[in-house]
Amino acid sequence: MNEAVSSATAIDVSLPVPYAFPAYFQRLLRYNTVTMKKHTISALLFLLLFTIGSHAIELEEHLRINGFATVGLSTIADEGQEFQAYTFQRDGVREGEINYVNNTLFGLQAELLFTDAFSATVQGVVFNDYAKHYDIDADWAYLSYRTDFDLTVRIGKFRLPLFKSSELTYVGYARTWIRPALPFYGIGGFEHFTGIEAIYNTHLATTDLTLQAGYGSGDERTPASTTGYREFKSDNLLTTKLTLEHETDSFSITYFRGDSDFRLVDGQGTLRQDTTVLNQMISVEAEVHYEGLGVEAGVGRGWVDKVQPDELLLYAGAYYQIDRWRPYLLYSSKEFQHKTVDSLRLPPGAPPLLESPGDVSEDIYSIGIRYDFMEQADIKLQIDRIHGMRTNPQLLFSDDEDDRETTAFTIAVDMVF
Amino acid sequence: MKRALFLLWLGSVAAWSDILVVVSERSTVEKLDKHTVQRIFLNKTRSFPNGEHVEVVDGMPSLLKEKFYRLVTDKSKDQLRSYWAKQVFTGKGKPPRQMDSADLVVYLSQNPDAISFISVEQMSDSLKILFRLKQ
Repeated sequence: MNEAVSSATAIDVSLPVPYAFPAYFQRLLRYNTVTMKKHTISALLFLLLFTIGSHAIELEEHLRINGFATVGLSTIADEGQEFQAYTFQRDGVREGEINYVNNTLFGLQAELLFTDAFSATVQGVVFNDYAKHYDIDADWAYLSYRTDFDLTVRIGKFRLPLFKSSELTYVGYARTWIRPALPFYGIGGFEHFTGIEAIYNTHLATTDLTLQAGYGSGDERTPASTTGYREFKSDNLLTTKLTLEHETDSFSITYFRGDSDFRLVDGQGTLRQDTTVLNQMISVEAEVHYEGLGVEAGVGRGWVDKVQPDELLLYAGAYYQIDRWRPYLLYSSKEFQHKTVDSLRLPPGAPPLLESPGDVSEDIYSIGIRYDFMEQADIKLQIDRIHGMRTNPQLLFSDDEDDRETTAFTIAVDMVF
Repeated sequence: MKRALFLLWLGSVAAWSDILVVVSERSTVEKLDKHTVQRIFLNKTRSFPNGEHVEVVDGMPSLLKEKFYRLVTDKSKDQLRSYWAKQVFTGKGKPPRQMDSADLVVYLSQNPDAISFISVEQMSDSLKILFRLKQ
């Protein structure tokens, strides 16, 4: 287990919020957290999805059901650490263990059409969050109205569109690689917002333009130490995204900001920080294709004033399509650049904070192959070489080392219907 | 055996002849360019250039359909499925409804909003060609 998590009382302000699992897993539309007979349930659900087949189900003319699933097996090569498939998980796969719980998830989407233009959609996902528990979360829930002049207005709960994969974190079939190219996409813990979103499609000559703008509120709580927590609340989150597409190439730029009330509470319930902060992130992504070659890259820069180190995200991947095979390479990096404790605002009388251990970073070099073995289903094999500093997003340290490397092996099957 | 060979020959003829993007003869739209066809079939627009509503109807999975999307969108069958997965699970769109070829021609004839693609052999007097994809 991560030292920052296992030390019960110490709260290290340099530990970035996204390293802890997102708070929405603890609240909105959280049904029973059920410890299931994981092997049986996973196998049955996956078999059920395959039985259903590869097409969306139209139960009635106005009700449409879609779904997605991933089942994967992972192991790692080295002792003294655990590798997580997703950053919100509290434990991962160890050396000598073959674990498929961390990679396995199922999602369902129900869309109710009131008219051709007006609909209601709910999308939920069942996944392993931590300590071998499965959880259910409503990832999306909204009313949508699409006009004939290509403007769509939606009201409800959405994922933030910071990167392509941040909206599609759980839909493995929609990406080339096994996991999202970056281990975390939100800033200050925000992955969702609740409010209004408008999407407008148009074109300039043969270039398609999509403008996506959202405004709303967010409320995320993430653990700090074993029993403490960090909490961001905001009533004015704003996101704007412009995407340009020409033939099969695309470019997008996204800006996100929000003024948030931030509270840091330690394991004894003592308020350690209570302040207003500005969360901001700007991200750029591009995708280029030539013949069978595809190249995707993205970079993001995030700031959470006063309470979190600055954040730099980067990924670059390439693949080559040969019939139904797609071998690929991927590099991703996440870096938190240290801020001194002096620059952080503390409430009067608060006890002193710990010194920061310094910058935090993670680099992952991946090589893999995707094979679309049937309609709307693929199998992927991926080998990751991971270099992580302590408190990095996906590698948990169970010893006192500060700087570790390991190799992870994962095989996964994705499907959609 | 002869029947199987005939069907194979018929399929190859259909696969190599032009693909026609068609609407009802009653539609007010006269022609489209390739980029507009792409925007319509990838759900990036819901209207014809003259502002009238458009409803896309797909044929059932076939070689013709694969070739149509390859030529218009430059996406393979697998890439197209991945595209629709992204659209569906972000709520930005959904793939067109599918119909078998016999129903398709009748439906197009009766619905001036509807658009689809057919082979030259399926062309009828009740339809109008808006765009011809040459192979």
